[in-house]
Amino acid sequence: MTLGLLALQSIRSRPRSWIVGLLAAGAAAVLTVGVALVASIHDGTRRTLIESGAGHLQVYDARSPESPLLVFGPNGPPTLEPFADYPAVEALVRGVEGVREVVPLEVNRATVFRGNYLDEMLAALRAVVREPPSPERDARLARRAEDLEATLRRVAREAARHADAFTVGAEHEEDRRALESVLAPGFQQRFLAEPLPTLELLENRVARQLGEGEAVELDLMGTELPRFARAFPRVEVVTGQLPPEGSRGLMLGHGAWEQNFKLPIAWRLDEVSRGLARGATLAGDEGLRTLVERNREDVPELVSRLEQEQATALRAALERVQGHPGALEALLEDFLTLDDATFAPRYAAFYQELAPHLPLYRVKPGDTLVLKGSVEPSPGVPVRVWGTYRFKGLGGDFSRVNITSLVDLVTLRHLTGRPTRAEREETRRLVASLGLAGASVDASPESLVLPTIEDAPAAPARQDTALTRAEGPPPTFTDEEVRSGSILHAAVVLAPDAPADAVAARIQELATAKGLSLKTVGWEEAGGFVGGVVGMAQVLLLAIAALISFFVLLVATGTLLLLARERVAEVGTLRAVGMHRREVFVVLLAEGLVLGFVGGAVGAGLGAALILGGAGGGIPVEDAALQLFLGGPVLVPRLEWAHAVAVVVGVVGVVAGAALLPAWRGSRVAPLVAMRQGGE
Amino acid sequence: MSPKSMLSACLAALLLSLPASAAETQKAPDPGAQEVLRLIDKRLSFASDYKGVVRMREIRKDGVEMAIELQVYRRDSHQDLIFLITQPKHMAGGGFLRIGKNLWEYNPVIGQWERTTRRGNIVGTIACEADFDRSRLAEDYDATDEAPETVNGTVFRKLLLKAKPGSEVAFPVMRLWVDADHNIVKRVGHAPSGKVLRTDLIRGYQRVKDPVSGNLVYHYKEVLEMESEEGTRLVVRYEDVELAPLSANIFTKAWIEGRTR
Repeated sequence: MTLGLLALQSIRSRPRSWIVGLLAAGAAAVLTVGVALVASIHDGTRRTLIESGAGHLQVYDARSPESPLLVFGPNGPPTLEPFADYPAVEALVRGVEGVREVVPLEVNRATVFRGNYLDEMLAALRAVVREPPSPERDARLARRAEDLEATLRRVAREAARHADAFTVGAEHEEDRRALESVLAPGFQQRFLAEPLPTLELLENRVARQLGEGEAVELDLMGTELPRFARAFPRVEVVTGQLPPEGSRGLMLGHGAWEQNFKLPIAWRLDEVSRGLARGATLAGDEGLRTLVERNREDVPELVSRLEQEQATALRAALERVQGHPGALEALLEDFLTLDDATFAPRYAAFYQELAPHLPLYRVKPGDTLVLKGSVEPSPGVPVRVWGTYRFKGLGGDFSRVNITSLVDLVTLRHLTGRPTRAEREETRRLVASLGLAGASVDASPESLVLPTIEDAPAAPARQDTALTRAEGPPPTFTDEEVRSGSILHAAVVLAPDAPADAVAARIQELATAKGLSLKTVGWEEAGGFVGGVVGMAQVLLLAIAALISFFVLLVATGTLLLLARERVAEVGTLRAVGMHRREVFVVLLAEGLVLGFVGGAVGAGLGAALILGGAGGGIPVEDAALQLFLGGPVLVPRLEWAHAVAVVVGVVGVVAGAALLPAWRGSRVAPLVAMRQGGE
Repeated sequence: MSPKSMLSACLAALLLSLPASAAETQKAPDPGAQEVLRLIDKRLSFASDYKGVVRMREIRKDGVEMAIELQVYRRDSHQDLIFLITQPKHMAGGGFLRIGKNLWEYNPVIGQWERTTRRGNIVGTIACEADFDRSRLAEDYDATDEAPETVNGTVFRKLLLKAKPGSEVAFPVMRLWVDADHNIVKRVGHAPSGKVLRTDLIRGYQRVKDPVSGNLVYHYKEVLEMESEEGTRLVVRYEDVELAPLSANIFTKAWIEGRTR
């Protein structure tokens, strides 16, 4: 007690020792806030992953060379072995206490190709030509022929301008002449009389002048959609509806829909609007000005995409908005010439007045998209788009989870080239009927064997018989078809209080007992690089804590050593009046402990006040990528008292460590030497 | 030297040189590497239109098997080409149409045509467009000789081919092993880094009479293609080859659409 009082008195009488306390307070404040932030990131990422499809656990076949990854990188999805008996796996997992839902999953990537705008226009015309003859079809064809002629004349003008400005090759010149010949007087009559040859010529000689078109990549999560929506209640349908049970279909991530299928002019206007909302200005931001400029450059293409009726209605709307008459292209270019003063009213007018007359989205609910597997090349798989969705509250529309699209497992299986049972049987039959049974695939790539040379048998002239056109995968499937096919992994959603580790252990135990080849991974591992961010944040926090501790240790040790040297005479006196060396050591160490505790407690309190007061309501986060890691658009640092106590204990430990050396050296001073130094 | 002895010496020299000259006239010098490519192209090219059936069996490393039958139509004079899938059922009617520089892919399920730049992985296999097209090695590649290989007493000439700038080829670098008659025995496609992408063993050729040129031309009969990265293997059989004029309007979208019902 006396020793403690001595320590307190010493601290009070030496304000320089308070430096150590201040250091401890600073370190504790920074670490308290840091720990709360890391805890928030951990919670946010955990929420994002668990509630966007990863579930608490992922179960997969133990023979797989890799484990499930819901967020995969450029190398594509992991290689997984399908379950040998998925129904048995599902029954086993469902039987474990704490398991609320089991959802079969598979992730992959697909590509959607689109031609340039003339390709699309000609394809639409071809579809009309194919229709059975009727007065309605003829009228539609005539209208479209009129639109086509207007577009072709625009393309011809552009081609001529291009040829005047640049040196063009002979082939380009030939294509240009082909276009001019098509556009000779009487185009529409000729086209309506014989549409197919003209279409062939335009498709092969003219459309390619406008470029190759583009490919859109889609991240896909294959699942049983209705069950997925029930298991993950954050799924919110934005447009359209979920496919009914047993129907093949695609739900586009709302962000993916906006990014990839929206009219480019509208998308760029949205981008500018978002930029201005962040506080940028058109005058000061070159990137935003470029978007505005590109919109003006795109006007001819947009006008070319419009049908006659749309163009007429759009022109009327523009004349109303602009308050004067004019040609459609000129009016639109004028409307899209924007600055900071005109943007807001024009942006509002675009959606209110113009958008109803524009093809705002290239793909709408109810349309069919042809998906192509990008990892395994496959023929396109047509699938109906049922709507768009987002994960409510998990980041903005353009966060990683909201640009992932949901698709049924049967479609995804076709995309990855994994054959159905019927297709496997057909292959077996074909190998025999096509005489391929003896076509061996066994040979060493190193081998060199002289090829056989034979005279081809005289082939009788064959007639080309009509083929029965492939029908593609049917639009519906049975439950049995999904479950008996290859399923790669499944998400396990637990009840709120169920411990994931215990459930995983129980699944493993039961699987071993029943001879099922199963493994589980947690949400953090299944989250791939998103889950890895939590670990990285924790490592970063540890590194910062280590740096701070080292700094505190150095400065506190130096300060306390200096103070100990100044107190040599005092220590000598204390020793002379009978204080033991051990007691001197305890007094000096106690000073460090008290400074560390008081500083640490004050600092932790300060940090807590900062969290509760400064950011109690949360910090809004604009960036969609960050929102993903924080589990939503608001960062709410989570203060836990246990964390604060741990910070204080840590700080006290560091300061006590720093006080050890000065206390030891101070206690080693001999009374006689100390008093002599004091006298000097 | 006397005139007599000079004459004798000349005769002796002439006699000594005779066997060498005879040997030289019997064995023409080996053609250069680029010339070999031209010879290969010539042997594999037809002046007539071409129609044939290709049957393929592909086995992936994971054991998944695929059997495909397609009809191939070619008019090399215009670089026009059609692959029309006839089997299996779920792909029937689909195919590719090349007219000049355009390559179109047809999806029969929704009747959609798509302009594509994909020259590889035709019909979802490891085969590429060039496997069914006119041989154009000399146009696309520059060749140099590498050290020949001898297997079981047979010498194979080995050529290193590098794509010419601007040529559109599936493999930027290739190695060919050719036999004494300039038949390709093996070809290995490499990435620019030198990594092996695909190895093909040509198991057989068939000789066909070209009715236009009157020449006997060579065509592949069976080729084994081995893809390196995924370990997929594909046997390609070329059957029912007909060299005869094709209908004038065959290389059109309308013709392909009309083949299916």
